[in-house]
Amino acid sequence: MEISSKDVFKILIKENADMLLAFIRCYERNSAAVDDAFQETLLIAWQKLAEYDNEKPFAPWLRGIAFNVVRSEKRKYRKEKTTSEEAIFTNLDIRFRQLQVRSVDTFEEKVHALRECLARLPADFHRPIELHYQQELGVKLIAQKLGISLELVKKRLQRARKQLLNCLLGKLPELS
Amino acid sequence: MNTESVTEPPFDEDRETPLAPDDLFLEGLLRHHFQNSAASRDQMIDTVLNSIECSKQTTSTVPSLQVSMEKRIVNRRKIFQWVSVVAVAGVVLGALNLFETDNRSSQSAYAAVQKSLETAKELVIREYDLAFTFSQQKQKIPFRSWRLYLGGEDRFVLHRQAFLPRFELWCGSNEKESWVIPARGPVLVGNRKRMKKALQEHIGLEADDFCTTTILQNMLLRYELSEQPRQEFPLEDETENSETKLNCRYILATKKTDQDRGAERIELWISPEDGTIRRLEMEWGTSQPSALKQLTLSYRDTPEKPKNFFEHAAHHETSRTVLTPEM
Repeated sequence: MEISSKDVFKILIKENADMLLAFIRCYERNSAAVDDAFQETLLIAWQKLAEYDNEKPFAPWLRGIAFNVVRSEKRKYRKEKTTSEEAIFTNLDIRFRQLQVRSVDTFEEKVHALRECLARLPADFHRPIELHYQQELGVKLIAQKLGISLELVKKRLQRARKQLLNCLLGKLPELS
Repeated sequence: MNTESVTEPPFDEDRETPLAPDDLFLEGLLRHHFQNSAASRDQMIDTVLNSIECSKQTTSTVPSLQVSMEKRIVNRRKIFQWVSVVAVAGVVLGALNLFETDNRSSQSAYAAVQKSLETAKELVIREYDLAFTFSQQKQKIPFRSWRLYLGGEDRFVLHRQAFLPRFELWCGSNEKESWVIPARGPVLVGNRKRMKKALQEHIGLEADDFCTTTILQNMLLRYELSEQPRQEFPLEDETENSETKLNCRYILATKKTDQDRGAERIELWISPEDGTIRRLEMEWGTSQPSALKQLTLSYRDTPEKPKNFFEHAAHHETSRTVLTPEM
């Protein structure tokens, strides 16, 4: 059976869509900006498909495109270059490669550990995380909503993230 | 009593990005966990695939990719699931002949908009009349009072012509900076983000509201498109003092969701030969948060302009004070 490049592309982007969205969300907070960057990345990936070296995995190639899309979007609003951009990308890319080492099927299954770690967070830490990442509230609004100081919200978010990261590293040995 | 101490280094939650890659990694996973919607993801993929379907590149193939990809696919259970989904979808679509006509109209509309976008991205200067009304405003701003010059993706000049010089205004943008030249007072120059507010104050619009490349990109990604029967547009022929007509492609676009401030409905007339926008009409719904109600662009000309036309210095005397907000 001969499969056209377009069909292969469809399959590959559906297979990698969740990973790509998670990767873009590392850089973009605004959900509309995430959607835009995601779609633009896919369009560019299609346009550059001929340049893709099919001996190499598809996901890192896609992340490279996404990185350029997000970076160029951010540079529209910021004149100076950030020297650490490349280094951060390299480190992030390593993390995503490590995640993909796991033999389970979907990206959602790969990050299931995060759900378990969230469930283990104390309520004082879980609520600010939920308000910040689910409802996209800023720290000022969270402070008002929870009736605590701004500084305390920041601290709780910071510590919650630290706990989550440690928990993830424990559950996913390949990240260590 | 709260026993949490504040002994760690200060933490700036409003920073643009966290410094440590692991922080970024975790933030990405958290946002993904809380915000990911399979329906929204699939809709975005479908939109992109539709757009690809209609682009010229649909017919291109990458033979070497086909062979090795086939091998990789064989061992992937997940991929087989998608193949099945695609196959079933194909059968269903094949059975639904009723939708064929609509589908063709939609595909040709996407292709037409794609072509128009490529044309709009060219570094050719195109001159338009711009008119717009706000939802709180009863009278339409007189036509021909705003002249817009577009020169590709990042360059525009907008000129408000006025009988009284004190109402005249120039603003614009190029690859490096944006600027506003009021009739009096200093010339304001800055990056796009900083100048966004100044532009809104002076003209009540954002550049994204009238830059055709942004509008066309949004049409491809966020709108349902359909191609309607062609419509004739008069062309002025000054040399022979007679009128000829251009048979324009006519595209209708309706927004898929209410999530952004984009217009609810867009009508687009484009030149069939080169994809130049001849006319564009945008209409916002009354329930939308945007202050805009209508916006119209009408093509005038493709004029020759000096090389520095998109720089502020080309539009004011050298003696004017130039303020750069970053300084």
